[in-house]
Formats: sequence, C-alpha cells, structure tokens
Amino acid sequence: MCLGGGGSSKAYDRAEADEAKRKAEISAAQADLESIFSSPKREGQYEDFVSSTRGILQEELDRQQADTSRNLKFANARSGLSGGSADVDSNSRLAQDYLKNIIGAEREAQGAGAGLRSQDQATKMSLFNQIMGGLSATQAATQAANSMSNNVALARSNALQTNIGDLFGNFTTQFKENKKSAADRRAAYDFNSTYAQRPQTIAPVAGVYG
Amino acid sequence: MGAAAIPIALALASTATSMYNTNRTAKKQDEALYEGLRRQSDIDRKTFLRTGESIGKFEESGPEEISADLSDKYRKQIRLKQGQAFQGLDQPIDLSDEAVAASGKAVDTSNQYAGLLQGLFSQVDAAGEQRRLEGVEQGNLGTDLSVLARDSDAQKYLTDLRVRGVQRSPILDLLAAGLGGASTGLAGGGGGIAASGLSKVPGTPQSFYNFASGQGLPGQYGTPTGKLFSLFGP
Repeated sequence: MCLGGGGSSKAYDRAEADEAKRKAEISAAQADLESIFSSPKREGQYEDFVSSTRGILQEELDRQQADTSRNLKFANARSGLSGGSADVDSNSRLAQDYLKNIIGAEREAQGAGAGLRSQDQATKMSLFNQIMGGLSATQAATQAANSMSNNVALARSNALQTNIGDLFGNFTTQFKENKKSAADRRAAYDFNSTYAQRPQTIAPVAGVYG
Repeated sequence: MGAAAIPIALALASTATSMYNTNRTAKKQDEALYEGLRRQSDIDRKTFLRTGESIGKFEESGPEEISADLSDKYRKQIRLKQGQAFQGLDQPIDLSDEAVAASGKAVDTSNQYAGLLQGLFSQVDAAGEQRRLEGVEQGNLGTDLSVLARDSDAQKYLTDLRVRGVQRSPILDLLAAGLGGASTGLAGGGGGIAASGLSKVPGTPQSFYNFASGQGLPGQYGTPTGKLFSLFGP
C-alpha cells in the first residue's frame, strides 16, 4: 500500500545519476591518462632517449680517450719508455679512467631517463588533478601531449648541454713533462758537448743566405 | 457511557495513526541513513585496501633488484668498450715476457677496478632509483585517495539528501487529523468538525496527551468541553 511520503526522491535520484555520471567521466579520463603515459610507445621513447644520451656522451668520451691514448703513445716514445713498465702503468691508468668514465656516461644516461620519467609523472599527476577539477578527457589528452613534448624538449636540451669536460686531464701534466724532458735532452745534446756546440745543419733557404 | 466511548476511540485512533506515521518516517530515515553509512563504509574499506596495497609495496621495495639491473647495464657497456680500453696495452712491437706479463696483469687489475666501480655505483644509484619508484607509487596512491575522498564527500551529500527526503505520509496525517477532528466534534456536541479538526494537521502524538490532560492547543484541535472533562474528572 502506497501511503505517499518519501519526499524528494526525484531530486535524490537525479543527484545520484549525476554523481554516477561524474564518476564514470573521471574514471574514463583517468584511464585515458594512464594509457597515454604507460603506453609501450612511450616506454620505447624513454629507451631511445637514454640510448641517445648515452651515444652523445660516449662519442665524446671515445674521442678524448683516442686523443689521450695517441698522445700517451708518443709521449712514452719521446721519453724512450715504450714497452717499459712506465708505459704499462700509464696505459693501465688510462684504461681504468676510461672504464670509470664509461660507467659514468651510462649513469648519466640512466639518470637523464629517470629524470624524464619523473617529469612525465609530475605532468600526469598535475593533469589528473585538473581532471578532478573538471578538465575533460579530451582536454586532458591534448594537454598531456603538449606537456610531454615540452618535457622531452627540456630533457634533450639538458642532455645536449651536458659537458663532460676534460676526462683525462691528469695525463696533460705528464705530456707536458715528457715534452719538457725531451727538449732538455735535446738541448743537452746540442749544447753540452765536450768541445763546442755541435754544428747545426741548416737547410739553405732561397733569398736568406744569398 | 457507550456514546462517550466513541470520541475516545476516535482520539486514540488519531493518535495511533499519527504515532505510526512518525515511527514509519523515523524508520525510513534510519534505513536511508544505514544505506548511506554502508556505502560510506565501502568507500572506507576501499581506502584502507588501497593504502594497505601501497604500504605492502613499500615494504617489499628494496634496492637489490634495481641494483642488479643497473649493474647489468654498466657491465654491458664495459664489455662493449673493452677493446678500446686496453688498446694501449696491446703493443704492436715485440716485448719481453716480463712486459707481456705486466700488460696482462694490468688488464686484469683494470677489469677488477671496473668491476668494483660497477658494483659500488649500481648500489649507490639503486637507492636513488628505489626512492624515485616509491615516489611514483606515493603519487599514484595520492591520486587514488583523492578520488576516494571525492566519492566519500559525494556519498555524504547523497545520504543527507536521501535522509532529508524521507517525509511523513500526508495521507496518514490527514487521516489522523480527520479522526482527531471527529473525536473533538463528537465530544463537543458535533458541528465543529470542519472548523476544529479536519483543516488542521497534527504534528506529533503530543496532541493526544495535551488533549487528554485538557491542555489542548487553542485553535489547533479545539478545546475540549465539559462532557469529555466529566469522563476524566471526579
């Protein structure tokens, strides 16, 4: 038997329906956002970014190592140390420095990747908060794409600005010392003979000596 | 005595109807409140579960796996660059056996050094990466909790709306008023039904007690007259 009463159930039903709709919209937007930020494509982009950063750093590292190795070879040869224990020691030191810097480059690359992931995570959270505040799923997707593009640009810019510096600077002193020693030996040979200065062989140059 | 019993029966029926309506309304409000609390409790349970899930992840979180992963990555790069690293120790000229042995030993020493650094750096970096991943989990937890908090607020609002929406049955109130009016009319000699009772709506069962004690509300139910007083009086 219906005795009436119960009052504004229509208002309640409408409010409940509205709330259910709002919940569904938020869930959908959240799922969209999650799929954007957790897609395999995005994972691939992170890997590419790490790989590129590693490539830039290793390229510079390899170049410096090749230069230092060449200089070391000539420095030891100039000093007559080639094949000796000093040669082995200095090359061993160079190898150790190089391997240490290889790990350093990999750390830098992994750190850049982690930084990019953190930036994207912050973007995701920010967008989600905006969704809670009324941002639609479509607007969120657009903003997500823009923000992530900015994040990548910033991270790339940071990676390119990374100056790994003079990684084998400790060998520079040795090279200078070797050159100075070689010059001293040459001077001693030329000027400190028992009798007099050794005659210098000067190539005739047209126009200078007549 | 028989004629006097009719107004009393009507008055009792009026009061009973009004009480029934009041109890029925309170019961419906209780049910609506209970339903709201049950839904709220579901949300609370989800919140506890979600928080517990994150706490479980934090408990299980450790640097070992991350460290092993990073160590593998560092080792891979070291292996890739071994040739270039030791080219200075691979002399193209004939060397003495001692020099060859020294070069071999230098390669071993350098590899050990790289292995040591690889292990140490991977442990150092794993701690930071572990915190970063925990931060991500914390962020996800915060996001989920904010959704649940919002659901909870919405549910509270809906419960309030539901409880406020439960109202007394106007049909039962009308019936109670009719019975009360009839009772008053009969007790007062008739003729005053429309003026004193039917057009008024009693709100609570208090009307009966006021009526019975002779303290009826003037203008609402009509003031009982001598016949009824004589029933209760000495």
